[in-house]
Amino acid sequence: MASTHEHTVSEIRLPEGSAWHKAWQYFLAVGAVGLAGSAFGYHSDPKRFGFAWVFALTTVLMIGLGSLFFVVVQHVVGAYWSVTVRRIAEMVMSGLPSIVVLVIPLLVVAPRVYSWMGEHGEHGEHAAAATHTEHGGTAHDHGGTAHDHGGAAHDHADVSSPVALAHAEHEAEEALEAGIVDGKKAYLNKGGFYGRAAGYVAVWSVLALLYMRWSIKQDEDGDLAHTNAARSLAPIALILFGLTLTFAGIDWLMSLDPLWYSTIFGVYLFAMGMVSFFATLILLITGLRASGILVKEISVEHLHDVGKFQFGFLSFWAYIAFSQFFLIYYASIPEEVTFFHKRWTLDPGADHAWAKVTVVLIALHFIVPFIFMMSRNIKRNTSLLPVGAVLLLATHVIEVYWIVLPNFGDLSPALVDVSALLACVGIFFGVGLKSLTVHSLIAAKDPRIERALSFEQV
Amino acid sequence: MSAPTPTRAAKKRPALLLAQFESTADVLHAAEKVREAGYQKWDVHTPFPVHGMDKAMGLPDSKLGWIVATMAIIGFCSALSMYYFMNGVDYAIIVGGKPGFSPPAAVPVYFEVTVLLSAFGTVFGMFHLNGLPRHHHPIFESDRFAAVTDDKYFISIEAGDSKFDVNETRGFLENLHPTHIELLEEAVS
Repeated sequence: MASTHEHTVSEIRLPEGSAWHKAWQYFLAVGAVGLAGSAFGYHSDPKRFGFAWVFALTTVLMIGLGSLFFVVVQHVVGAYWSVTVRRIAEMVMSGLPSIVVLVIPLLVVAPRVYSWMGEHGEHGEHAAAATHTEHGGTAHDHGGTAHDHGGAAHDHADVSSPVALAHAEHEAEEALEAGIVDGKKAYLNKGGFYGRAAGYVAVWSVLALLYMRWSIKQDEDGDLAHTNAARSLAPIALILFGLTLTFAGIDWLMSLDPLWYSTIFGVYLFAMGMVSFFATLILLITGLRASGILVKEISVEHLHDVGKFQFGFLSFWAYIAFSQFFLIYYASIPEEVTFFHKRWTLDPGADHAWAKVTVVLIALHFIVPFIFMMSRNIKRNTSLLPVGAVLLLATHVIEVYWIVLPNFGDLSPALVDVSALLACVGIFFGVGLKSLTVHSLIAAKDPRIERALSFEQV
Repeated sequence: MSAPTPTRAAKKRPALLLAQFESTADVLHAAEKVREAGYQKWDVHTPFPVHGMDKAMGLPDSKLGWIVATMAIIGFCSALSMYYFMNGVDYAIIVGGKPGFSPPAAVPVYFEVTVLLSAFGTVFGMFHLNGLPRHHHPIFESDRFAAVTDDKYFISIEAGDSKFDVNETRGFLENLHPTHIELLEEAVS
């Protein structure tokens, strides 16, 4: 009994029959509709579906990983203000095990989405076949020259036609690319991809289940051992989080273009996850408060702190996203600029749609919310703060779309994108919201709950 | 050391009334009463920030944010125009195949100048709002007031307040049950 703690705080449950109590069913229904649409999409064009699914899965995964990080960090630092908010974050986190299911379509369509997955790589096969069969010897030879001197083929006068020359350059480029992709085989191979995917999903699910379990168990027995266990694992959990997030980002997003790389990509995804998670958290808190739930327990003081986190991570995201762009832009190395070249094509005659999306992201994912959420009064306003959160969630979806889909081609939104998004959002939050209906909405027996309830900004 | 001129030194006028309290709760409730009485030029002195004091005193939001925001905008715009003039007009030099004026290239400069001017705005704006620099204040004439950095709490009402009257205000402060009241004077120059 020595390790237990006297408690005066009572549990809070969602009122039965309320919209929040049934929300998980609505979400699962939406998820089912989305799944049906996705199945249809897979049937009609598996490759297009694959890109839509990578986009949808990443969108919810980032929110889920953000919640995992938030929960773990509260245990690392021993924060007390956040205890009343933590259960809501844990609810988002408890959706993470659903990734075990949601990742399956990705694994199924991966060979169609990731060009490097062919035996010799799609690029390599295509280039080799084209050079040997379709074109004459001249083009082939010049292809070899272009390979080394990029454009040197222009100087050769004996080329019969400009068309053949263009073909030769194109082929040389493809052969070069195949060589580069081949050099990455030690990491980019099928076995590694599937093995690592299993590892990521296992780590996220186990961590989410463990942290949820400790928190829930403490609701029952009030044992401080749960807090100690959560705190002991937290630093290791953070390291695992960092590694899995980074490598999943490399495997699932960066390798969509196997030639491109960015060493800051993991941090960029982390920042994105935190921004979208805090936006989700704000919407959940203000939504619950609007229904008269947790109004006292999660006060404006707590909301203010969540708002500060939102604003801080928004600035961090902008800093990282711009840094990634900036270094690539400054150095102007061909294999690096491809990422932004696809998304910022202003060449006359080309499709400028992705460039417009980029402008939308700069304006609505940074400039507008940055200025809007700067004021203390906005962060303490229960009806204006969620406006910023909605904007950030909407632009989060656009941003992930902007990362994934340019690898497919020109901007061409399709119904399968919406279906996949509904499926992932519906299932992920359906699972998460279900946990809200069976557990207390605050960690009533956490040793820091009293201090958390009386928390005030100085 | 020459003796002070007698005619000048004798002339003094009330500067403020200082009331001493022993606990945060006492000073918080007293502050509410002072606010309700309608005093404008008064202050509370505590060894550490007291929760709810802003509300008890009825303090409005600080104006400092607006000063900082203005300075930030000035900083951003001046950095942008500086870069435009230097690299775009006056001495256009091609670096890395980019045009002379290529906005992303100098974002660190916009950022730094914005931060620099914001910091100036914060520090000097704070000085201005607090009436600094000021070399002396009559409140420091009190020997008791030294304890404000340790374990005592004070409320001061300045003579400059339109409601201030030495006797009336002293009576008002006595009703707040302080442990000590002191009238501090300043020399008339």
